[in-house]
Amino acid sequence: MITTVLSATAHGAEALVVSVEADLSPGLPSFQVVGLTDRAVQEARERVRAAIRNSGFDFPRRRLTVNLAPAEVPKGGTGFDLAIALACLAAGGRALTLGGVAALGELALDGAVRPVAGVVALVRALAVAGVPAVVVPMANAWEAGLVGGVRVLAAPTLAAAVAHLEGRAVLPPVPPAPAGGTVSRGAALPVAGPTDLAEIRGQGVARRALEIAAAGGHTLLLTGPPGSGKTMLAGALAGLLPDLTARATLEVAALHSLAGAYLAGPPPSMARPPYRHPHHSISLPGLIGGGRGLPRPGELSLASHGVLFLDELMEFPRSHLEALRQPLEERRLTVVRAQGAVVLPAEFTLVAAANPCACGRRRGCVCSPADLRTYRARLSAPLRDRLDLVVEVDAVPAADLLRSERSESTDAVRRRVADARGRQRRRAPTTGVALNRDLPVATLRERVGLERHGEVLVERAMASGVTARGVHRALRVARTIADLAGRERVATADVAEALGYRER
Amino acid sequence: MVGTRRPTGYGIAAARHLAAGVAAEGGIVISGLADGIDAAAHSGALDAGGVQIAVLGHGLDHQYPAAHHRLRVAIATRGAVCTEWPDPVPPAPFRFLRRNRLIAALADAVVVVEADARSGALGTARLAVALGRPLLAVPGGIFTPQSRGTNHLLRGGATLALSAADCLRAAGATTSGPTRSAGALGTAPGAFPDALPLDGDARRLRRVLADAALPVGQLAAAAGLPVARALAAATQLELFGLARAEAGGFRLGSPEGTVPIESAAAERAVVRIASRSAPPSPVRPERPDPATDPSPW
Repeated sequence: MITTVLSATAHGAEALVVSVEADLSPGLPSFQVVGLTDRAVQEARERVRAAIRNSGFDFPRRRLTVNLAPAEVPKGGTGFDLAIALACLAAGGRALTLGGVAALGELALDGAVRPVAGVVALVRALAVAGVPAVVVPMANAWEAGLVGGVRVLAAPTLAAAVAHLEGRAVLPPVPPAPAGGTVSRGAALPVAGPTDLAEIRGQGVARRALEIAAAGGHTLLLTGPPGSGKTMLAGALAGLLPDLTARATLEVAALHSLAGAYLAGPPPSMARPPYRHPHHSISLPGLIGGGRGLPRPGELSLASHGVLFLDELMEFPRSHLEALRQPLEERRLTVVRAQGAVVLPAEFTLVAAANPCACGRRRGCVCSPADLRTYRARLSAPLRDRLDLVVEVDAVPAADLLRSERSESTDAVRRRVADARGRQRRRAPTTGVALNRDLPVATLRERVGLERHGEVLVERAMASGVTARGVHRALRVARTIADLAGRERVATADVAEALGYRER
Repeated sequence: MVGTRRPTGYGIAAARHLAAGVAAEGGIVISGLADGIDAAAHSGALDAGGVQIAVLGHGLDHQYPAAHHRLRVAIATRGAVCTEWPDPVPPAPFRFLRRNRLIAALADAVVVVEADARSGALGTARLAVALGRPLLAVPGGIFTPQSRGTNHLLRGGATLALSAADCLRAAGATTSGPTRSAGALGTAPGAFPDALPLDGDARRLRRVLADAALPVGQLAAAAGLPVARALAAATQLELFGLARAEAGGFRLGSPEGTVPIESAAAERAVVRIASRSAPPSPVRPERPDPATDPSPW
């Protein structure tokens, strides 16, 4: 007798529906799992056998074969345990109602259902495939509830799931959570990033650049000596981004879920954009995505729809920095491994901080000219060209620090950012993009609508060595500056300001 | 012409200016192809189309610093690149010190442009005095570390190097009246600021620019503009060669390597302005413009 339980496996940033088929045939007692599985799935045999016995059921004493289809897709992890157990029990003769039911979850030896990573993406794939109901671990129920369009049943144990499918008891359905709403432990939700702009005195140019970066999604590099406040300023960027849309919330949740970020419980707020700040000692797979089997989302993907902050940019290995180029152009990342290639989203706003030179002292710098050249060369020219806003930050004079008047707060600036983003969104039907940073080159001039003197400035800039890409990027920044000011046309001063942020 | 490898913008400008003036009068500029003042002197002489000599501290198989390879080739095409070392000898600090005595000996006069208190250029100055060569020094600010050595030389009796004519006179050359160095710099893009399409903000900001780089925040406060507009104004000035962006902010002067205003784009810009019925009213700068002032130094 063959029985089938649906489940799902992670595939890059997405998930694929997997059929767990169990066949019981005459022969010596054995238990095989096939279908391009990894070590964790092979070990599932021991967990499933123990969980079934310890839940008070009989483990079939004949030749038992489990196939995970499609067999050509590599599968890994412990999330198939529950589906394998249910398929085995059904094959062994228990009358489970399995029509279109999917199951996710790892089994403990005593039959308890343990949480797994990636539930948001897995349940979303099942919902898209039209699966009516999915049994998930209790601890993952809130994640599954984010998806909608599928009935979510939270199972504390294998026995409870079996009882439900036999019609003897009912698992409480999990109400779908409003996407973008709050799935939290009830605490007040902090809106700002790690720093609020109100805490920062002075730094007019840097504040302005942060606002532009937040409004148009442009890349920002803050340079300055240690202690000048670069990290604090960069930390304020995440707070300037408006709340995520419902779609973005789900995308962010799917990525973070796949990376196992929710195994310890829900984050304080689902609606706030992510803020990722990997240390420069991070491995390349950690940054772009990796792990056993098919790549899992890395930091670049986890920063999607939010902020990626690279502190001490120059200390990152060159390979890491060059890996930024594809996401900065295409907003996604192709990762190829022996097991296959996946495309991961990477739509982050980049903010980086760097010392002006290797010794880091503005006054009394002890670097030789050769040192300075070497330091500068750590960032390749193509990558430098992709930095839209390069701002020198210097320590704020003590007198300014002690002044009691508060600076403009993150909340106030975020409202202007939201207005500017609203203008970009309203143009989206014609431009095809939601953010100015993605304005296509072909229609850029038309979208920007330069005044004559603006054209002259652009010509001068190109004559003094700004690349064509540099000009295009500056024009996108100029469009954002005009959007912040509520202007339909880009003024000459907007172009000049945008060119002023480019590295010389 | 010798000096520190880590000059200020002033030092670079002075070295270029003096070297260009000397070369324009047919003088031969000799320097060491090192970073900083050496490179500025060579490129100044190069701009003026002059003959010059670079004395290396290593064999011809090597190039130090590597970044000056193109400069070396350019010097060799209209002058000489020479060394006392066989081709395979690599660069080493002590060879640069020995090289200095050749520079002093080859020269008819030695000009120190900028040197801090412990600069190797002061060694060259000592050798020059020992060899009986006239010694000149460019005066500098009393707060500038790179001018400490040169100011000290001046106190010790070195001749003031205020113009290319001073240098040529010390070297025993007769000059034909005022040097043409001002002419060599006269192509600086900022020569005709009133003809440029600058807006009111840019004109306002131009008046608060100084010889030292100031951060945009400070310029904005001085000009009474919001930082965003101040940055826009400073960038306009920079693109038209009236300001220069450096580490630490913007200052007066033209950016290095700026395409002269004679470029096609800017010419069109000026033509467009001229063809408008009401040209913007010219604003007279309050201070003499260094680009047009006949005695800029």
